[in-house]
Amino acid sequence: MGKSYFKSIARTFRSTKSRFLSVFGIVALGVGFLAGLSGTPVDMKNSVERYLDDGNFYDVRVLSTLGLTDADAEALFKVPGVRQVEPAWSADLLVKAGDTDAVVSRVHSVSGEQSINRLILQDGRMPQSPGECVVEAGANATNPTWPIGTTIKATADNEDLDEKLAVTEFTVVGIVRNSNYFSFEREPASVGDGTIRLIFYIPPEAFAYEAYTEIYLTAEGALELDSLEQDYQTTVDALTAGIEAIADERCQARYNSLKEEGQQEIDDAWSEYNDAKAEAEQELADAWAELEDGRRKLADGENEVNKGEADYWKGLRELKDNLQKFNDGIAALGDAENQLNSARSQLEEGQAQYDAGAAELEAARGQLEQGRQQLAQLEQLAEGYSRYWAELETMAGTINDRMGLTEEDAVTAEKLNALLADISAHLPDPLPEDDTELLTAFLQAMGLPGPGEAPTLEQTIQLQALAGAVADWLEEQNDPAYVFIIDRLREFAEIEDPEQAQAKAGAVSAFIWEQITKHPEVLDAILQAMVGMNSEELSQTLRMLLTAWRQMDKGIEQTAQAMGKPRSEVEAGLKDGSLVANAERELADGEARFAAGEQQLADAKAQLEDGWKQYNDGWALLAEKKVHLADAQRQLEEGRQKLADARVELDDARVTLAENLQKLRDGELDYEDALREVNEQLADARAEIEDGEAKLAELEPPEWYIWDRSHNVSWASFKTNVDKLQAITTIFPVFFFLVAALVVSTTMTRMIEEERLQIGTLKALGYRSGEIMVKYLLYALAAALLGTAVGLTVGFYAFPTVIWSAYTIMYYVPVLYTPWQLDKALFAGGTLTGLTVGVTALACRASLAEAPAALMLPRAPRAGQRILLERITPLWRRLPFTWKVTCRNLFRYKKRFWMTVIGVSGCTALLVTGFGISDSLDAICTNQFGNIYHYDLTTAIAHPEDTASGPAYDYLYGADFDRSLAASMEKTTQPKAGTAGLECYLMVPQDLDAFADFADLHERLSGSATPLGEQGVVVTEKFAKEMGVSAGDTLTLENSEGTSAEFTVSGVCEHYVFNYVYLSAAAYEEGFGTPASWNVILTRFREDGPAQGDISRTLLAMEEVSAVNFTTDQMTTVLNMLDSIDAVVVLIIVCAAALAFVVLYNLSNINIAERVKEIATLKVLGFHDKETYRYVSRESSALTLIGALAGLVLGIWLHRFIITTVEVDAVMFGRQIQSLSFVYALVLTLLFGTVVNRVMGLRLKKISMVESMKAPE
Amino acid sequence: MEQQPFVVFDGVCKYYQMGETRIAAADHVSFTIEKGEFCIILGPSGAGKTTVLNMLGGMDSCDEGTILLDGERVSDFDRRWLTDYRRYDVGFVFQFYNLVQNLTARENVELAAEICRDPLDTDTVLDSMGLSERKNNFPAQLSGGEQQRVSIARALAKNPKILLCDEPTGALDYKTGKQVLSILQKTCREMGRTVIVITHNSALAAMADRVIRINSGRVVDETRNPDPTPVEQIEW
Repeated sequence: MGKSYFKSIARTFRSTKSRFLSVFGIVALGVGFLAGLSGTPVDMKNSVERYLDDGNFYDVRVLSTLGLTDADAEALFKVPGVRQVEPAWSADLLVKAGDTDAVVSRVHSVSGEQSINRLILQDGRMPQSPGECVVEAGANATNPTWPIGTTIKATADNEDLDEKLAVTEFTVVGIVRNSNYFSFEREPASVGDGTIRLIFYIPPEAFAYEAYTEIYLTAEGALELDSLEQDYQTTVDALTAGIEAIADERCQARYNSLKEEGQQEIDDAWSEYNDAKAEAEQELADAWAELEDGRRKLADGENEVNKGEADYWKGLRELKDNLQKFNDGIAALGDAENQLNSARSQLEEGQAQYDAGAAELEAARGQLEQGRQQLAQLEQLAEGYSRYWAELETMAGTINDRMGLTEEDAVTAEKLNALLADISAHLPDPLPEDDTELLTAFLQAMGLPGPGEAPTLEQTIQLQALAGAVADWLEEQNDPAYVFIIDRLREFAEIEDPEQAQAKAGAVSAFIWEQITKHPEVLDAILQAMVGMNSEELSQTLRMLLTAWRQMDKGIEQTAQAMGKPRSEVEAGLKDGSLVANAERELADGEARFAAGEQQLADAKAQLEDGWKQYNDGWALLAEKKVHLADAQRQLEEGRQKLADARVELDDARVTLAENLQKLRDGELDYEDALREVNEQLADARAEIEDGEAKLAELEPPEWYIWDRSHNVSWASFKTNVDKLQAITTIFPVFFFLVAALVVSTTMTRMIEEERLQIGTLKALGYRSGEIMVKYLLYALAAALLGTAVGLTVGFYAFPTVIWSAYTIMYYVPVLYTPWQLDKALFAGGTLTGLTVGVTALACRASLAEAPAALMLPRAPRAGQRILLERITPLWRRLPFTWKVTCRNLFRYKKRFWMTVIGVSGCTALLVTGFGISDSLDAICTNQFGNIYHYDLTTAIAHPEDTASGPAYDYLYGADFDRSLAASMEKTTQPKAGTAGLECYLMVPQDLDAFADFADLHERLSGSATPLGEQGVVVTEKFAKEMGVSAGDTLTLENSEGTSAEFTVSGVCEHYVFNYVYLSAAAYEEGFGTPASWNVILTRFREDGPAQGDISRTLLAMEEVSAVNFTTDQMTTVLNMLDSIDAVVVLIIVCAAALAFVVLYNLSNINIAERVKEIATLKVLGFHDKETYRYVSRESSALTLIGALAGLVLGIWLHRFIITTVEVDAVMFGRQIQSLSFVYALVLTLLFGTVVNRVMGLRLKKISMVESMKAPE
Repeated sequence: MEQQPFVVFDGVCKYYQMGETRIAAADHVSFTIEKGEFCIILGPSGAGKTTVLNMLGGMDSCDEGTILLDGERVSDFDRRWLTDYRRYDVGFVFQFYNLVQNLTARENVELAAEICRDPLDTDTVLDSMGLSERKNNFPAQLSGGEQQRVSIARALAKNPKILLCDEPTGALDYKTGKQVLSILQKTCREMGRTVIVITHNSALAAMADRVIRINSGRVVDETRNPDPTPVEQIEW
């Protein structure tokens, strides 16, 4: 072969990049999947194996019912095939770890550096003293539940604690891992709720066991073997057989030694018992003698006290007599004092009377004095009065003389007095200096009306008289000056009609007043006419008389007031002198009375003074008597004090006596107690010894349990899981492999067909068949090998890593080793590479077999075909051509059809499975916690009676919660042939009717209820399936006490988490013969109830509550499981997408390559890009749809397979795939298809119409 | 104003970049074709006949010059317009028939007719091609001549303005070729359709109304043949 031939090969590679890529891709995918997935369980096994080997994991564990001894260990070491023997201790304990009470834990002895089950320190240090420990890291080593520094304390409720542990309190000093517990699934415990939550390791010296609890062994040569393989099992089986061979003998030896030891112990106990008994009896006798002595002493004391008491009473009586006397004295004294006091008050009363009399006398004296003064005044008044009247008489005489008046007309003193009174009324007081005023007043008083004053009728008459008189007088004077006046006056005076006169009177009086003022001689004339005096004389007389009148008037007025008599009486008295005489007589009477009063007062005073003297004498006598009594009182006090002292002494003596008596009584009681106790102790000791004897007699030879790794929970669970995984990993790659094979063969066949012309040409040129074939074989080989290399590299790493990440929530392995596995690599890579090359070779051979000439000719295009659909003419007619082409094409290339359908259906099936797994886990949540469990809290109660009363009862049945129900819940392991047994809870509700509100028991498929009737036994679905029972079947159950009984299953209910057998209380009791013991309270929350944290704290603080379990916590566990499954789902989706892409890409690639000319022609015919795209893509779309629909069906099957394979005993996954998941799967598949089509659409655009001009190939 | 010719090529150039050099596949090609003419474009292999045909058929665009068809400036059309142009105005007959293998003769015709605005009746066209009996056969069941007749029927069914035929007899034997050409000539004469045939066979020139000779991308000669010979009388 020449250079240019290789060039042409190289060009082919370059020019057919997409084909090369698709072959490469599908091979990589197929190989990667097959090798990676099938290699995953191997990697997991190897990684675990390495971890176990590193930790020197045991091969066989020997336990004995009676413990194991050093002799046993030695004997075991001599068994052929043993490499290492290590005795150890362990115990299941309830501990208080940190703040958490009653943690179910397992404690192991710390193993040494080189020993079996070596501890691998993660944090902190190993324990150095018996009070220190290290804890198993569990799922979270970086944030352990019980961190370093936590105190772990074995609680007192542990049975025989002192036989197990020497030290009961430990401080965590380190976090370790142990290959014994590489799974986070824990072994069942023999205490508490049966699930170990804490594993810790303590130094051997902290154990108190008399014998080892177990012995670990490793087998010679087992380390090198793969423990999951048969070789290992054979080796270990051989060792087990060897151990079994010596087991009986060792058991017998242990039995004998225990028996001997026991007998010795019993003998010792008996002798100890006898010694103790003798000693106790002696002690009791001594005590009795002491008591007797005490009794005697007590009697003596009592006699003495009684004598003292008699003396006391005598003294008391005497004291009482004296006291009586004293009290009498006091009483007499009191009487005297009273008398004195009453005398005093009488005296004081007399004094008061005396004082009153003195005051009265003094007042009389004042009155007397006043009377005297009054008399003097009266006398003075009387004198003035008479003088005044004399004056008046004089005056009257004067006037009468001067006027010459007759006896009848004479002026009298009385008249003058009245006139004066009248004048005085017209004048102020004192009298004015001006005489004119006096005279005016006089005139007015005499009847002349005042100037401007209208005269009354009376005045008019007077005025007429006056006018006449004045006129007369003026006429007499004969003075011509007066003529006018005289006429005027005369005229008036002569008017006879009084009324007429009155009318003129005003004018006349005014005329007079005018004349008076004008002519003083007129005034004189008038006065002369009236009284015969001139103005000067009259005014002097008037002034004197008016003064006297006023004095008189004032005096009378005052006297009248002072005497309280009317003025007239006084005036009359004055006039006749009786007033003064009366006053003098009264005064004389008063003086006489006063003198008599004075005498009486002096007598009273003398009497009083005498009384006071007697009173004071009385007091002096009384004081003397008081002194005497005080002395008597002092004597009494002393006597009383003495008696009181005697009393106190006596009482003390009595108290002492009583105390002594009490002591004696106590002593007697003590003695009795001691006696009883000694007897009881002795009886107990005897019983114990006898019990020991009985036990010893009953002691049976021990039994050995020889357990290999299959009894280790971690190892067994891992083995199961790996087996399951293996099942899955063989199914999964099948699609990829099948599709890969189909894709490769189509692609390569197609390639050969495309290259017909070239093959023909080369052949015509004389190249040998082999040489021609080399090109295609090389091409195929290169693509396949490259794909294999990439597939293996990625597959061997990616699959184990991703899958393991899902398992890390269950297992701890430090490193996951993902080496290339030659066998898988060879198988997967070899098969596909071989297939690729083989198909190519076959295709080449077929082509090469033809004559060169035939090859040069374009191969007749494959004929169009009628398909079944065309027979349905009406339908067919209506199809557009593009559809007709599509339909015919679909069935034209069968290989492509199957390739695409299988590939796409695989893709869809994987998606359905992926989403379905999520659904299944989701179903656990929604169904179990949404539809089946209606209670939110399970509270474990230590004693059955606390479920019906007490604080926990009060709290849970209180207002904070919706409702609660007591139930019995027993964790049991039901025997099942061929397995270690099936874990299951026996649940017995206290109240069948109420239970319907707490759990909804119904069949899954039919949905019909399976209520727990009076005699009901309802089992959960998974349990029924595992045990192979259904409704109506008979089922043998074992309760936690180990009692077996037969029951008839009344129903199988839908249930997902854990296995349950629900029994009615009646059925339970009838079956097992004992009533169910209520040990849990199921509780439903209220929406507004307290927070979960508070509930938990409240409940755990209660003594009777041993555990609380929230339904939401279980749910969280499941949800966590969902999270970890997400990685797997994503992996599945990615794989599915890859599968879809490869297949669809390939299909489209072939389609386009094959139909370039057709497409170009369509373009020339004027098809739009879109129409062209549709024309081509419709085919792959249709195939995608067919494949996807097939995939949905396939998915159901695949999902079912995977779910049932991966399920664990305790959990049933949901069987249903949600319709939404189908939709997702379908949509995603179609989306992948569309993406590929779009990419192809771009290529379509690039196809040149010039292609249509080319000759057919 | 003088009536514009049906087809006008005016200074049309098409260049291909081959590495450093630029090759003119069409170098200022100018010619006109009247409506209803039977035109033959003649030239040796690689002369640029197909380039011209591609441009006229709307499969390729020109770099310079103007192409007019029935007054429309085809040279200015963009990709989308060109598609519509092919769809409605052009009927194309390929050398290798280019029938869709998976469709029957009738369906192949309908395929084209379906996308047109005013298609001719499928059966009529097929009958006129003498294919009445073979309508329901797949292409693989037909002879070359029959296939080419289906191809012509497909082009005609679209009722195009022009019928472009690229070496329609290239893959056929003499007799069948003649038969096909006769159909084309008849189509032109009887249906008044403008038919443009590309061929390297100069013997056919006699049957055309107009012969355009192309060499090295240029029009070397354009002859009007007032008296075309019926194809039956032409021997080659």
